[in-house]
Amino acid sequence: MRGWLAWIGFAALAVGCGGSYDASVSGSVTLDGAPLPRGTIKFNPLAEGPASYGLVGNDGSYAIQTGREPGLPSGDYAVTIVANEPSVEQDPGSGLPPRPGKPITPPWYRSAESSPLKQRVEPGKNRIDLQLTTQPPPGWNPRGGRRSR
Amino acid sequence: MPLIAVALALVALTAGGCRRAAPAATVQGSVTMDGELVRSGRVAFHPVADGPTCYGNIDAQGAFALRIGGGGGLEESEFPAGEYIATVVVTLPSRTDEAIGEGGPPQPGARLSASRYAARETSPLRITVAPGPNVVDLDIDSAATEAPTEPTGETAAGAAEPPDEAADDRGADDPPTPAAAAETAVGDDAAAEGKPATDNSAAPATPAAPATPAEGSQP
Repeated sequence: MRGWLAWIGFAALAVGCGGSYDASVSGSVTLDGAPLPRGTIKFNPLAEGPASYGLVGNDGSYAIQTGREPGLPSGDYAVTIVANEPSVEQDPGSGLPPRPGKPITPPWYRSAESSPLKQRVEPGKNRIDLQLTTQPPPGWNPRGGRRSR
Repeated sequence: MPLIAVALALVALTAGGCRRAAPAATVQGSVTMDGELVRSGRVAFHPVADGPTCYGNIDAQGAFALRIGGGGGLEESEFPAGEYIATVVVTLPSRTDEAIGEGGPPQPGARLSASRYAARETSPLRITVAPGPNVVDLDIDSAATEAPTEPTGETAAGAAEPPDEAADDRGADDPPTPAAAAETAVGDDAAAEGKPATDNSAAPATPAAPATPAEGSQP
């Protein structure tokens, strides 16, 4: 019987190493106190590894996934957020792609270098409510603060 | 009882996907365009050397998983680890409203992504796929950001609008030529973000003839 249990454990390990992550993150996003109605949240790992993403729902809620799997590895992240107005349709039938809409979220939230949102993700469930503001963070430089080159 | 145990273990091994012998890999990931997750489109990984080309459809969450062959299944396939060039076409979601009346397949939506990502000859996305599971982020530019010198009607008109503040705001330092744009994508986005979980990844690629429009390869 003990051997049988060991096999079960082994089987669980074998199945588990394919995919799932040890942490999950969900929450809400507001801009100056109002729910952000659309956009993309990106968790940029400070260590090596792929980024994780979540779409912002109509009510400002989001949940993070990595690739197609829910969740992400625990660790430290810089959080970036990009939201634009809906893209502008061109003439119907012209075959032209829509033009991108105007940005909603301020530019300093768009790159990991300039985003003031640093988050530690603990193993297990995390609820992280992101409160964005149109006030630039201290030291924000609109010309140089976007990307380090 | 031991027989059952062995059978269970075999099932677990074959179904679990924890293979360490062959240099087999799986790839899933996310696609963002101008920083936002995309809702519809297609990703392909073309081997630099010999091997199968792998495809994946982008789902409503901006995620994809690659499989060998073009079928519509959701399962990911194992394929050889190695060097790949990724191509990406982001489209508007299919116009199902038009297809229902005609009984035909849905019309494919218009292409939204920059044309250079559509063909392996021009795509700057060179990806190293490591053995085992990989997660690859692909961050690409939209067609609206393409330089306004494209010769063909479709892209010329699409790019006729100068990049507005949306493009400005992303901090692209106004790539003046397609070549510069490709370099930007390689230097910044691909190298910084197109990496599998295992680190060695999107090695900087030489932008291949970026002036060639990729329209011809998109039927």
